[in-house]
Amino acid sequence: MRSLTIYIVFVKKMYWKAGSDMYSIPFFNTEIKLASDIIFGYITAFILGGGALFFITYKKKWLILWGWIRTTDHLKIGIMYLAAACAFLLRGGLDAMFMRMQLAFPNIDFWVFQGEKYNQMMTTHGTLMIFFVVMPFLFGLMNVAIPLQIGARDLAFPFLNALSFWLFLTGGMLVNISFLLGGSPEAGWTSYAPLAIDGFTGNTGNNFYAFGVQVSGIGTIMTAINFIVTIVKMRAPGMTMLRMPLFTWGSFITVILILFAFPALAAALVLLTFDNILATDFYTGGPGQPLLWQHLFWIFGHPEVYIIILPAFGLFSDIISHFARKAVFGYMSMIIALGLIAFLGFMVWVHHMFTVGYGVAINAIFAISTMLIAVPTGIKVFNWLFTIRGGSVRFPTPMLFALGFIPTFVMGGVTGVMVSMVSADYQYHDSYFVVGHFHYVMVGGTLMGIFAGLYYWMPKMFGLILNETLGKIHFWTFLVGLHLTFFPMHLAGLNGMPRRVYTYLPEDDLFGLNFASSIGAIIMAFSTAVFLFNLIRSFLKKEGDAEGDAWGDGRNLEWSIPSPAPEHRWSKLPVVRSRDPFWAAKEQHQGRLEYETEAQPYVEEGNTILPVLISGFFFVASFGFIFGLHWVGTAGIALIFATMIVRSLTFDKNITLSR
Amino acid sequence: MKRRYVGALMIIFLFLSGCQMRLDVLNPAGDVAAGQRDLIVFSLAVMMIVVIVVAILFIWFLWKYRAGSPIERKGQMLKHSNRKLEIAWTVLPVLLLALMAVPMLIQTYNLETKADTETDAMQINVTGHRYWWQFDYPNDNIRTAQELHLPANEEIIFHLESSDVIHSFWIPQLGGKKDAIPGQTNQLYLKTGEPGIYEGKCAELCGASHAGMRFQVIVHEEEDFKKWKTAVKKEVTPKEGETVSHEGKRVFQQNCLTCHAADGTAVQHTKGPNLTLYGDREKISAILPNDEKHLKEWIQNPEKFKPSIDMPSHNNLSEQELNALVDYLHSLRQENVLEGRE
Repeated sequence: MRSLTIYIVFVKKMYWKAGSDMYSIPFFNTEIKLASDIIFGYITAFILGGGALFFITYKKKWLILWGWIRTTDHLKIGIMYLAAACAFLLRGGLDAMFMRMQLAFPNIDFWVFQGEKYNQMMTTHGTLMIFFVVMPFLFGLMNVAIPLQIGARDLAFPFLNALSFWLFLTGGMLVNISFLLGGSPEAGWTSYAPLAIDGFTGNTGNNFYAFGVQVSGIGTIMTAINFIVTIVKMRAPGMTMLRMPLFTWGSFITVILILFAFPALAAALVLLTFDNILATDFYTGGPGQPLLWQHLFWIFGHPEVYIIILPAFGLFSDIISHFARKAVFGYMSMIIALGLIAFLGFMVWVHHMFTVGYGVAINAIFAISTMLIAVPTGIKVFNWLFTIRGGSVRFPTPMLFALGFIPTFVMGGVTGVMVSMVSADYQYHDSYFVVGHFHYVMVGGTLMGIFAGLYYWMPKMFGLILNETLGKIHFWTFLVGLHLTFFPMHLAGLNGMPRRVYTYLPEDDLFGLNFASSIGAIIMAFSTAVFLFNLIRSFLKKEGDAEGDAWGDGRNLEWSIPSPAPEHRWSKLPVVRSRDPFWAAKEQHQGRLEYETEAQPYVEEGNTILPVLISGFFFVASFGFIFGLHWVGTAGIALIFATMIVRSLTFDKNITLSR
Repeated sequence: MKRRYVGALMIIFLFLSGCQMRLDVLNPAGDVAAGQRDLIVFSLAVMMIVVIVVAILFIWFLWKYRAGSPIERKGQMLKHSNRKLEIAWTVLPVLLLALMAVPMLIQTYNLETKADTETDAMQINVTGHRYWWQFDYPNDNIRTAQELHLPANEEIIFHLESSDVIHSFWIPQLGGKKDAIPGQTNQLYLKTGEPGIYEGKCAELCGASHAGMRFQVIVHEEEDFKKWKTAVKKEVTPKEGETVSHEGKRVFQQNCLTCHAADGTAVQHTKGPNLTLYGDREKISAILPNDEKHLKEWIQNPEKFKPSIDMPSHNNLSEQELNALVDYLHSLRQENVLEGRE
């Protein structure tokens, strides 16, 4: 208690000093300014870190942790993805709350979040949510579900899978710790040049952004390769491409998109890093070309939008058909629609740049191609509706999220068509209208999909079903909070509120709208707290050992094995004769799947510490280059290659041929 | 279940209607913005058709086919595809989109060609700086900042440039925005309508004080605009007897002139915004009410209102000097110029 009082007094004292450079500690080529939020961050980090260490030691979990760290198992890696994404979701959500508090009233100063600090919060929020929340959540679900859905024993490259995860975590940590080590990035998640170049904003933050996203991006590209090979080569006998569940299809299209989109980002980031570290002039206004960054970024950035929505589309198809007890309507057109969206997704990137001054021809072409995406998306919406038609619909929590998604996403979709109309977009562009639009799509689409997937596959991961009452409270508060937060943003945009402003004037008439948004944000925060409480409560109580077919009416292969999925998932691989194989088996053979007569030998990857080591060296290298310690950076890169050589020379010792 | 959802939306609308909403974009003050307003309303109307169709099917199907409903599930509806329906919901959206695309293309073509070719329109050069806007009227040899004066019912072409990072020039009630990008010049065509005062904003993140990078747009009657044009070029000289203002001018020349000029033709002292006719300005630095109290606070600590601004704090000025300076700045008024006090 006493230490708490001291802490509060200390923070108060610091609060008054905030903004003055009185307390600042030199840190390599930058300095750490001890403002109250930074001190709060350090103390929180120490409490959380210390608490975790104490808990692990106290419960004697070090050996178990050691096992998890070295694992190459798809289910465990999937769970780690989900856990890390949950943690980053809380951080990104906290940033959002700070922003909403600062914007709740006109011309106020909430804590330190004005000017530069607000920009840091806003940038961290965007970067975390896109790269380190939504994507790892989806990768987590893909890791958990896809091998089970297609009847594969693991991913094609388990070692690579582990490496991808640890690289993602390294990148996430880099972006997360940036504000403790001399400055978060502050140029927005889009990091537009020349704002993101040294001199206009803090160089440390820009480097943290570039390295954090780059390192995790390398992992993402490897994940894409891994899933493409897995889905193409590792399906169970008889599981043809056109018998795959739609979640697998959505993910398949997504990883193909990643393979083409992420290298553009990687290239863009390399040039940005050069501009910042080597003082080159790729993106600067004089000799360089600021629009080059925008092109490279959006060539990645627009497909990214579909990268994060297509797996959710697939997941909703599976869940809706599951709980409507009816096969998906228009399976083929669903797949064609996915393909069309992916194809068109690469031809629309300039719609993010309608106001940069290109003439009528370019703008018109990109406007038309953008509007066309509405057609396959519409096809999917009607297919979902007609899947419900003639079914027998139950409403457990995953289904509620899937159903809440449909009207929400349609609202986000129609505003999407509206912003694609060039001359009207001159008004919407960079205003809160756009903020409202993409939050409808990303929160109402992807995040709802993620929640649906977490509830849906929880039995396969932990053998339990989360409490349904709490789940329903979670859903309804989330839905209400989401609309209350993001709907007024459209109107704020129409009343002339630009994006990324940290305040507005009383005479702007924006108070009511912003206040409503802030109330909505509080409701969403409450909703997330309910979800966390539900998770913790279920883990503590271990209530209800879920059956294999935990929700009843399971249609796909994952529901044919016990919950949680056992260590060796398939002793013999199932033989698939139709779509929805488990459903078909229940209708025709009393629920008994057909298995191959003789088990085929297969290769198994053992545990290994190398992925963690390689990622650690990536961290060292990034740290070196961020803080201008080029010899540390170079040494880090040398160590990365050394570890890769070790892996190449010893990989055969880590694999066994199992029968 | 749906009732709660509708209830939540009702609350939102009640809340909003209680606040007497003002929506600048939908309340235009010029032809360009009016055209864009029409397109927005039209596209919203077309899109509402889609929303309503989906909403009806959604609620209808969920109610009719909920588990335990006595309805019989049979025949056609259990099929997993239906060629006619699928063609319908592919072709109809294409038609709706075509319906929207035509006016959009016409409007875009008109705006962009006018921006590129119209020659007898008024030309204004706009330069974005962190965090203020500079306005040059090349044909009239006028340079001013932070307040954009325009004649009513006039076509104007803005030439947008930036001196540092990317900014975006936006006057919601006059029309859509366009970016000011370092290393290139963009043209934006707008048309003014009724006289009035409108808010302008920077829409592209440009740094810590992006929120404060605003400007006021003052649309005059033709006659008033001509008067302003003559007055703005000249610097007010305090009268013989006005010792306070004389003192103020001295303080200004000592402390401010390095960056700020006080006459609208200046080609020197252009590091900071031009302060011509400062006494007539609506706002200080486009964000604070232009009164004595705020102006003093601003001069003493501009960082408080615009973080990371280039202007230093002037705590060195005595109370007396500060008063004189504020007095001088507020004497820079059009009426004083027109009275012949040059």
